Amino acid sequence: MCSPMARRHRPLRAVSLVFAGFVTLVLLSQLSAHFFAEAIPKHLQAQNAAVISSIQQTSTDLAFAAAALGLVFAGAVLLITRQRVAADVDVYRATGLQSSSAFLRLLRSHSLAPLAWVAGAAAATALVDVDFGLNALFPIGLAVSFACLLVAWLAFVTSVSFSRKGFEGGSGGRAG
Amino acid sequence: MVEKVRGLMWIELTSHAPTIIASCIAMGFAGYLATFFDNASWVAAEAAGTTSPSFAPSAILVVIATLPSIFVVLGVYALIDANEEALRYEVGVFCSQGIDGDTVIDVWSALYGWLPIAAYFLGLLGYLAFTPGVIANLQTGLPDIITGLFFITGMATLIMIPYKLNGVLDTSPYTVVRS
Repeated sequence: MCSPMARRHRPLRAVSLVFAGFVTLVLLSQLSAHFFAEAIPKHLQAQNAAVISSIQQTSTDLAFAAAALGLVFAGAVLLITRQRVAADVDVYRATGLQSSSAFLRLLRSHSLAPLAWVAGAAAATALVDVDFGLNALFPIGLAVSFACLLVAWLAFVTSVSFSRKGFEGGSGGRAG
Repeated sequence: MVEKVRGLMWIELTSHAPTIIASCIAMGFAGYLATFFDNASWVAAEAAGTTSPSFAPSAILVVIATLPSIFVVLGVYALIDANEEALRYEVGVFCSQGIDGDTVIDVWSALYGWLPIAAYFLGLLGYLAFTPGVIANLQTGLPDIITGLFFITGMATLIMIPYKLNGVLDTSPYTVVRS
């Protein structure tokens, strides 16, 4: 049975923060290009075309860099939390569940909160992007990448756990 | 005691190296991004004139410059949160070696707080160093910009990270041993 403390510390809460934070960071990079262009009056835009283009290019590059950094950060958090997820898979396996059932249970217990956070952040970001006439596909693409990364990672952890021999074959001693 | 603290710092640095490196890279990136936003704001204000109605968007860019570090600090907080079990266990081990909780917090704060702040500073300087003309652009306001960004990032980091680390300490077996 889980104690209230254990229930409060859900394993992948950190992933939710990272997913939502980096989707918002990409939005900030997009907004910087927009506000930069807004800051220069229409009649001055022609003579500052080179500067505007340079700043907008850097802004796009930084948005991509933020997305890449987010994926690396999310990967790091998933690696760090691997033991907790693997422990859950081992419990499911010990109770005799098939790998597909264990995977579905894992999805239900570990992926709902992060996916809800990233979906919320992506929806808010897309609304802002559409409102300012920016490319909403970029943050949505990042959110989808985060979701795929999480689901693929959970599938990987499940398959690794189920591909091992029985618990008695592990390096640890036999129970009892 | 100094030897023990030095040893503790080294053990923590090597055992949590991936987490610390990821935090430092992200904070360095946030510093780079912040200086870029500030430079873009200056270029926009210079092109448009600060008295025109377009002053508002360039002011918004200055506000945006403070945000990347806040999001990255949240990311570092999340990394510590993910490491919580391991850190809680380590407190117990260090306690059994005669190192008190405050020393552990100081070491953790240095690794997860001060090192990322130093990386943020390097990121700030990195944009200035590798982008021609930025120092000339921001010359008069540069000290204020760096001080302001550094202050906001430092406050966010040194409030959130020690708060989280103290939370880890309070919920660890160390507290039980001490009481």
